[in-house]
Amino acid sequence: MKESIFDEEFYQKLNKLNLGIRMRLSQGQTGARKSSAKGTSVEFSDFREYMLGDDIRRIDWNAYGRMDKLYIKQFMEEKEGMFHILLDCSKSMDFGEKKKSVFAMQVAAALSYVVLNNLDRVYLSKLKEENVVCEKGMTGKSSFKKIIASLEQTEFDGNTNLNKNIATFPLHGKGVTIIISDFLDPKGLDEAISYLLYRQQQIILIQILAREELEIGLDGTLSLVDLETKENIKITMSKAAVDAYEQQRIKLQNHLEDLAKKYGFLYMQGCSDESLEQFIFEELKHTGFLHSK
Amino acid sequence: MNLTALWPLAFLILIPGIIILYMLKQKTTEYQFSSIMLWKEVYKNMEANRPFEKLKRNILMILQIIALLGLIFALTSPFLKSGGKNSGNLVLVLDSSASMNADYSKKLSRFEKAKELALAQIKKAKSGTKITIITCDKDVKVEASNLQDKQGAKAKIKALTCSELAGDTNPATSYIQSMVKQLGAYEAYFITDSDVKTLDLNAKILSVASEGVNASVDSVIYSKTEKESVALVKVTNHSKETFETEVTLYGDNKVISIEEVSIPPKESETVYFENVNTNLKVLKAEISKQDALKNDNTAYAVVNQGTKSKVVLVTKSNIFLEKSIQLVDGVELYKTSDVATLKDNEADLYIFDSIMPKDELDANKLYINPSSTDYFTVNGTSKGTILTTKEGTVTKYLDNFQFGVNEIKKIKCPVNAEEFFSAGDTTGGFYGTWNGKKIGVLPFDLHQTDFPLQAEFPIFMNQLLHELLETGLVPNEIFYTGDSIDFLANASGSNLKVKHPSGRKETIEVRNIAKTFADTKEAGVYQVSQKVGKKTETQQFVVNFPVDSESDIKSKISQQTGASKAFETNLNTLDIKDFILLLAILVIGAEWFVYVKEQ
Repeated sequence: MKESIFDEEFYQKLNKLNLGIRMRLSQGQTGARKSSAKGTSVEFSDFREYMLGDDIRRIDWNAYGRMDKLYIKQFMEEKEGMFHILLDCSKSMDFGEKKKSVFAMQVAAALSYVVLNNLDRVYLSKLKEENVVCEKGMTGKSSFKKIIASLEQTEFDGNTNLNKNIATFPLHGKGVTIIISDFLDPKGLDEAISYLLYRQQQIILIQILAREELEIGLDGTLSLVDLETKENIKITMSKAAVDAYEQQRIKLQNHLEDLAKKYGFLYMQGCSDESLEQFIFEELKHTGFLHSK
Repeated sequence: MNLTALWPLAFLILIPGIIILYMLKQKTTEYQFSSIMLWKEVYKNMEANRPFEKLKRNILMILQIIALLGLIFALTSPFLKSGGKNSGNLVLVLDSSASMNADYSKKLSRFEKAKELALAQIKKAKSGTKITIITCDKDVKVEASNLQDKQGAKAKIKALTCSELAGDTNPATSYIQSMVKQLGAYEAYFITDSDVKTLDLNAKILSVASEGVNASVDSVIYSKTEKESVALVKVTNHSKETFETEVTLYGDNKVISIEEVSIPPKESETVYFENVNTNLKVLKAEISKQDALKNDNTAYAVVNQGTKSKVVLVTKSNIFLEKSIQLVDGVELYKTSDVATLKDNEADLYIFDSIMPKDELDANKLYINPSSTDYFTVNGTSKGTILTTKEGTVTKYLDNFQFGVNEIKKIKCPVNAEEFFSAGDTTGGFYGTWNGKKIGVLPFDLHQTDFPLQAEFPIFMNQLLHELLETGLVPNEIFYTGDSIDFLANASGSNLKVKHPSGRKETIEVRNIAKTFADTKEAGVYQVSQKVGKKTETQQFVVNFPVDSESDIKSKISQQTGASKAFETNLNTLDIKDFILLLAILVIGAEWFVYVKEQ
């Protein structure tokens, strides 16, 4: 299965991902991303009056000649963006005729590709049980192979507690945290969001659901068994029950959208059976997170 | 509310069966789902509506259980009490006389309708009511008394049959009156087609009288003279319209002739059939047109059989002897003291009591206190003799009987005679046959003995006269249903065999001849036979429908359904079985509707 996730077709799709990420960063190591900080790049940014202690090499002597005052030439600082991609590796992700896990890994890989392509740093982390398995930060296109290799080894098993997982997550300064999950966690996500905001993270929630979860095509009385907890519940798939489920799913979706609006982050939902291009080029672009170069 | 029968409650065991079936049916298949988080919420919401949802989920099962309960409940025949607390007695009197065979409607006879009405009363009665069933025809017959089992009472009613006997329900009133003191609370229902005087009984008359055209064949008479032989059939039209029909005369079950007849309302016509074969045994007349009462459309007659025996008693005065002869069935007694007028063959038997004929008659004779004749010789007299019985045909019921005679004539018993009394050296009495004629002798004056005062005397005379006469087995040839017949059996013969019109055979022991034969419920030709020695005597007789009292079916409509003044009902109940059945059917319909909708 894993071999088929990242096949030739996938790489062909990746080549089309000539996208930029609209992010303004002021922290992190020097990189290719324009920063709000002033630094040492070749790109002029502003002037200011000389102050004691300034590097005298940056004094604009032409301005001094014209205006008889000492001005310091300020240049744009170029920094690399910190992107944390958190992939939910619980068993619930391993569901659907077109598995959510496959789509989630493809999205993670695609976003990693875009990040690396923008000379930013990506940290791929896997949420498992109550831990977070973190990969080292990777930059440069050459690191993409490592990411693919890491994703290919991903096991979707057990259950996750997003709140606890993320609370223990070691963040590397200010950056962007992308969480790819089905968010079917009874304990919710609120604490995790608060933590990430506290850690000055821009948050992107990508909810991946299977078609079977979006459109219930079940009938009769079923004993539904939870893939993660093995709990079961007996439900007669009457129209009322299906409608009630739909209401609950929309309620969860609305809750995540409300959180996004409230804290100013992005939330999007994808279905495991839709095409990757459509999700990346249309849905992610529409959010404004990506832009064409 | 009470239940008539409890046994259907055993079917309640089916209810757990339905539940188990549903549980088995609801055995769910497992389905692996990513997370049941949302489904838990769904379940919680549905739990909030739990009672309704649960009901909705199992609505089919609940409806099935309700339907089953309804059916079981209906089987128990529940009823609501509509009267007093005590269950009391229900007395059903059904008229089973011949007129009840008439049509009530196209499908039902009056008696069948009466049974329906009786069943309806039983159905309405409270549980625990003591039910007494009485039928009335010629006699009152208690078919069942104090039955508390309604099903058993219904079975009794269903098994009742109508007779062809004359009668009505009036005799039952006196019977019920005598029961009343023991009954306590009771209701009596007379189900009849005729008037009933219910007197002070707490009784109600349920009339099954009906309109209908009826004609009857009243009689068939056969007359034979030297010149001709004719059969006369009397047909009566009991209805208000002219009755036209064919009258068919059968002789020994073969059609002899058919005559058409038109009878004005309420009148009778006699139909003549001439030149009837004189060798026939049984005549049957029948009208062909169907009417309301079919049983009276046929009548029978027997021809060419013996009639009553003529006995001439020649005596000056002997009241005991005279009375004892009159007691013998089938005998016509003539008395005279003038021997000069006697002729041969005028009588079947001559009894000479202390008087001797001038010339010997060529006939059966019984000599009492005789002089010498051609058959025996008198050798003086002896006094103070005790006579003892000798075992024989005429002394069959006189075992060890003795009586004293003041004076007896000395006669030696002839060799060819059979002695029945012994007087020591001489005979006390004998009988025998001379030249084909039977001669009997009692050699003493009955006035000189206490024998006529004894109970054995009429028995002895009866048996002696039967030996000296050939009387036949039946005193008459035509009877009506319900008549009792005293068979004139020969005490020395075998048991009597009676063949009924239906072919049923019955044997009557000869020792029971004192009892009458009363099983004449069936109209038709009967045959009785008895073997005496080597000879078997067979005689036929007919039993006809009692047309006089039962054929006029319209005259019995004078009283319609009504109750006696003091009639109070406290036994009736409201049967709710039908309502419950209807409800159960509605529930089944609802279940079907829900099932279709769910599908």
